[in-house]
Amino acid sequence: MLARFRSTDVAESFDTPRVERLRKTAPTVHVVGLSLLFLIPGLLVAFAIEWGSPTSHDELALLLAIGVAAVFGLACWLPTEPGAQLATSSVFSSVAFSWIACSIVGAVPYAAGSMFEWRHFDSALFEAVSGFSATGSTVLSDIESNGAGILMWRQITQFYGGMGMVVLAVTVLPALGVGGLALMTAEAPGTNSDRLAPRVTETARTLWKIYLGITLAVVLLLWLIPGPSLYDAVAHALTTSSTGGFSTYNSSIGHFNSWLVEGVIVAGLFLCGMNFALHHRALRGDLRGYTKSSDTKVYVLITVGAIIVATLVNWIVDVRDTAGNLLDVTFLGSLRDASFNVVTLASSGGFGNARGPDSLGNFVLWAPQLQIMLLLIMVIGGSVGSTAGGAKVFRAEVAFKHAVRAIRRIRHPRGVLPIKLGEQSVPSDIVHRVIGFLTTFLLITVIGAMLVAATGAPVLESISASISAMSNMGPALGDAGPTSNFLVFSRPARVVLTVLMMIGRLELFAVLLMFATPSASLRNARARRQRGSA
Amino acid sequence: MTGTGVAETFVDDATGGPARLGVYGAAIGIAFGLSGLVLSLATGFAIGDNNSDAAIMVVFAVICLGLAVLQRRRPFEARSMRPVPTLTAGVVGYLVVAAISTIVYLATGTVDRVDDALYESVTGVATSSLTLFEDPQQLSRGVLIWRSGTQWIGGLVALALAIGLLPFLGGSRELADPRRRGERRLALAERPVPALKRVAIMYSGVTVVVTAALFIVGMGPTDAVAHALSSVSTGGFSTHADSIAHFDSRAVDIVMIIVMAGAGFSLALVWMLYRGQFRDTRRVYELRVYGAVLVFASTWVWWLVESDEANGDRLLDSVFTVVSLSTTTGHRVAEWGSWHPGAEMMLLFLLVAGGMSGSVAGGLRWIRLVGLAQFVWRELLRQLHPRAVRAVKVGNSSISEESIDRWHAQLVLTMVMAGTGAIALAFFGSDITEALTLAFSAVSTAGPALAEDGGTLVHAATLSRSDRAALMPLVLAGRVAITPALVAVSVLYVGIRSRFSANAFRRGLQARS
Repeated sequence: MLARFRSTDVAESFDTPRVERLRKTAPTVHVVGLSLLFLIPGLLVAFAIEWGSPTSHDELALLLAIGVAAVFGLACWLPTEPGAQLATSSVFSSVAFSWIACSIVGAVPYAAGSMFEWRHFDSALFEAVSGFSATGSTVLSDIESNGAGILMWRQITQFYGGMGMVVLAVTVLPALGVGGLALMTAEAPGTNSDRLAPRVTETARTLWKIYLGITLAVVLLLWLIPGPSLYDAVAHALTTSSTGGFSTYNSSIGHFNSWLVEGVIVAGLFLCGMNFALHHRALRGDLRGYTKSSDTKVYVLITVGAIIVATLVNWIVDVRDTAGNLLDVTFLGSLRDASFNVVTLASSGGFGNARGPDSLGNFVLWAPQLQIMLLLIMVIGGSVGSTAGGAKVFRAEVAFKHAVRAIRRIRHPRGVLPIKLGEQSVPSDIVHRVIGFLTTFLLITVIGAMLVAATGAPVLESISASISAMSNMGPALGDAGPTSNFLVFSRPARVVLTVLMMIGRLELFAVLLMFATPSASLRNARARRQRGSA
Repeated sequence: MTGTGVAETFVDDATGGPARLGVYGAAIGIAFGLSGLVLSLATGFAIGDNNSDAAIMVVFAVICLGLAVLQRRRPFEARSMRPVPTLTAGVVGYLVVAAISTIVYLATGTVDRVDDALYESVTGVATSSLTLFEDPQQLSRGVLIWRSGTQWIGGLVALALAIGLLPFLGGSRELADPRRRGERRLALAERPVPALKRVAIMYSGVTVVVTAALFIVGMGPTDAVAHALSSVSTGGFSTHADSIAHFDSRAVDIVMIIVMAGAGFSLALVWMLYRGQFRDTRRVYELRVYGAVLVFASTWVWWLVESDEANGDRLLDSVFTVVSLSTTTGHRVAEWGSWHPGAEMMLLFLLVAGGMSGSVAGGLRWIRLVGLAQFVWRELLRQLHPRAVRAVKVGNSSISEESIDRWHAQLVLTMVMAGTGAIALAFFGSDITEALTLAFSAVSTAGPALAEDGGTLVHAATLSRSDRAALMPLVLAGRVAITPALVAVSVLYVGIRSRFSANAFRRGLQARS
C-alpha cells in the first residue's frame, strides 16, 4: 500500500528535508490529481461523440488524453492527502497548478488529433487555456473542419472552467471541505462572498446546481426553438452558462441567423453575469436580492445603458462595411446586434452574432466611440460571484467611489467619509484589497500589451487583446475582432496572451502566488541543510 | 508690503485689513505679473520683425504689470492658506494666463477665431505641445516667444502649485518633508512664499543657462529663447514645423536631451543640485528609478527600432524620443508614430507615467507608480499572511495609507478622464487608436499621439473644432494633476447650488419682503 503524505500530522520518521518538501506540497499535488481526474468524464463524453460521429477521426487523441489524465491524476492523488488544514500558500499553488495541469492535459487531444501538430503544442495550449479560462479566443481558422467530439471537448473545457475544477472537487470531496472555502476563494473569488450554506461543500454543491440548472434551461430552450440541433444546443449551452464564448461554428451564433437563438444566449449570458448567490435566493423565493444588490443594479445599468447608446448610435450614425459601403441599418436590427454584443461583452461571453464580416454584428465596424465603450465594458466585466470575467462591477464601483472620496477628503479633511455600496459601508481592508487588485490588473494588462506589441502586433490589437485576455473576453478590436481569430498574433504573442488568460481567470493572486509553497519549501530545506552542516 | 518678520505675509499698506480675495488674488496677481514679464520679453523680439505686434504686446505688458502691482497691494495671509482655495486658485491662475493669451492672439491677428485662440492658449499654459499651427514659421518672432512663454508660465505655475499642494495632497510629502529625514538643510517647501521665490529664481536661472547653451550649439536667438522656454517647462512648442529635427544637429539633440531630462527632475532634487549637495542626490530613490527607466526604455526602443528598420543608427533618436515623451515635453526628432509597435507602446506608457513627482513634467509620476507597485506587493503578501502589519515603503521612506489612497485615486481619475475623453474624441471623428492615444497624451500634457494614418499626430490643425474643444479640459486638468481641477469644479458646483437652490431662493424672497 502506498504511504500517504499528510500535510500536518506527519510521523516523526518522515521528518527529513525531502519528505518535508513532499509533505508541504502534498495538498497541492492532491488537488492537482483530483482536478485531473475530474476531466475524465468530460473527455469520455467527447470520446463517445467523436466515436459515434460518421465524419470524425480524433477518437485516439481523446483516448490518449483520458489515459494521460488517469495516469497523472491517480499518480498525484493516490499517494497524497490534503491533510486536516490547508496552509494559505498551498491554497494558491493548489489552484494555479491544477489549472496549469488541466490546461496541459486538455491540450493533448488538440495536439494528438488533427487540430494541431505536436510541434504547435503552444497553439493547442492556447486553445485549451482559452477554454478552461472561459475566454473564447481561438487560433482555429476553420472550426467546422474538426470533429464533433473534439469540438464538444472544446465546449466542455469552458463548462469546467466556468465554475472551476477545484470548486467541483470541493463539491464532491468532503475531505477538501476544511480548506475548501479558501480554495474556492482562490479559484473563483466572489462566488462564496455570500456563503450559501453553513458547510463549504454544501455551498459548492449549491453553486454547481445553479450552474447546471441554467445550463439545462439553455439547452432546453435552444433545442425547442427552430434551428439548433440537440448537439448545437448542448454545445452552446455549455459555453453560455460559463460565459465562455466558444462555438462549434466559424461564424459563432451568427451561423443560426436567428433572433430567438440570440435571445436565449443573451438571457443565459446576462443571468450568468450576475451573482449566483442572488439566483440562489431567488430560487428560494426571495427576489429582493436583485433589487437590493448595488452590484447588480450597476451591472444592469451599465448593460442597459450601453445597449441603448449602441442601438441609437448605430442607427443614427453611418456604419460602413469593410469595403466602405454604407450598411442598411434598421432600428430593430441595431437593437438586436447592440443587445447581443453588449451583453456578450459585459458578461465576458465573447460570442459573435455577425452574419459575415460585413454585418452589423461585427462590432469592429461600429463607430469608434462605441468600440471604446465596449473596451471599457470588457475591463469592468460582470458581477462578483458570477462566471463572468473582467475586473468586476463591484471593484470598479468601489475604486470609483474611493477616488471620489479622495477629492471629498480635500474639502472635508476631518470628515468621516465611508465608501457605501447601497446602504452598506465597505470596510477599509476590502477597499485596500480592491484597489490592490485593480492596480495589479492594470499593471499586468499594460505589461502584457507591451510584450504583445513587442512581437510586432499593432498598438490597438495589442491593447485590446491584452484587455480581452485578462478579462477572459474572447474577441479583441481591430484585426482580432469577432469575425477573426488570434492567428493574427505571432506565436510569442499568443504565449503572452495564454499567460494573461490564466492570470485573468484566477483573478491574479493565485497565479502570482503559485510559487509561494514551493519556494517556502525550498527555503526551509536550504535552512535545514545549513543547520545540519553547522 | 510691510515686513512683519514672516516673509510670507502680505499686508495692504492702505487698509491693513484682512484679505478679500486671499489666495485667489495672489494667484491672479502672479498670473498677471508673469504674463507681463513674458510679454515684455516677446515685445523685445517683435520690435523690428513686426512692429504692430510689438506695439500691441507692449500695451498688454504694461496693463498686466500694472494689474499685478495693484494686486500685490492687496492683503494675503499665506499662513492661512487652506487646501481648497489653494487648489482652486491654481486653476484660476491658469485660466487668467489663458485668457490673457487668448486676447493677445486675437489682438495680434495671429488667429481669427476665439476658440482657436483659446485652444492655443490653453494648450500653451497646460504645457502640451499639440499646437494649432502646422507651420509656426509663419508667425512673427514676438508671437513665437509669447507662445513658448505661455508654456514657461504654465511650468512655473505647476511648480508653484506643487509647493502649494505639498502640505495638503502629500504629493510625495513623505519624500519631500525634510524633517522626516532629518535634513533641515533641504527645507525647500517649509514656507510657501519664500519657497516660491526660490523656485522662480532657479527656474529663471535654468532658462537663461539653457538659452545660452542652445545659442552656443547653433540656434538663433529667437529659436534658442523659444526652445529654452518651452523645454524647461516640458511644453514642447517649437518654432519649426518639424520641431528639433529642423536643426539636424547632434549637439542640439544632446543639449535638448539633457534639458528635457532635467525638467523631469523633482523640485527637491533640483534644490539639492542648486545647493551643491551632489552627493545627497544619490540617495534620492525616485531619481534612481527615473534614471533606470530612461536607460531601460531607451535601450528597449532602440533595439526594437533597429530590428524593425535597420537603416542607420537611431540610438540618439530613440534616447531623444524616450526623454521627450517620458517628461511629457513633446519635442521631436523623428516620426515615432511609424516605428515598431513595441516601441510605440513603450513610448505611450512613458508618456502616461510622466516624470518625477514635484517636477514640471506631467503624467502620473514615477514615485506614485513605484508606491502603487509596492502597495500591490504588500497586498500580495497579505494574501499569504493576512494578519501581518507591513508598511508600504519607497526607498527608505514609509508611505502613509493616505498617500496610497490619493495615488490610487489619481490613477483611477486619470483612467476615467482619459477614457471619457477618448469616447468624446472618437465621437467627434477620431479613430480608436488616435482617440485613445490623444486622450492619454492630453491628460499627461504631452501632446503628440498616434495618428489615424499610422504616423504621429503633432499638431491640432487636422483635428476638428469639437476635438480641440474636448482636448482643452483634458490638458488643463492634466496640468494641475486632475485633483485640483475636480476640486475647483466641485467648488463651483457647490457655489452655484447654494446660490440657486430652493432655500437660497426662499431666503432671497424673505429678504425682499
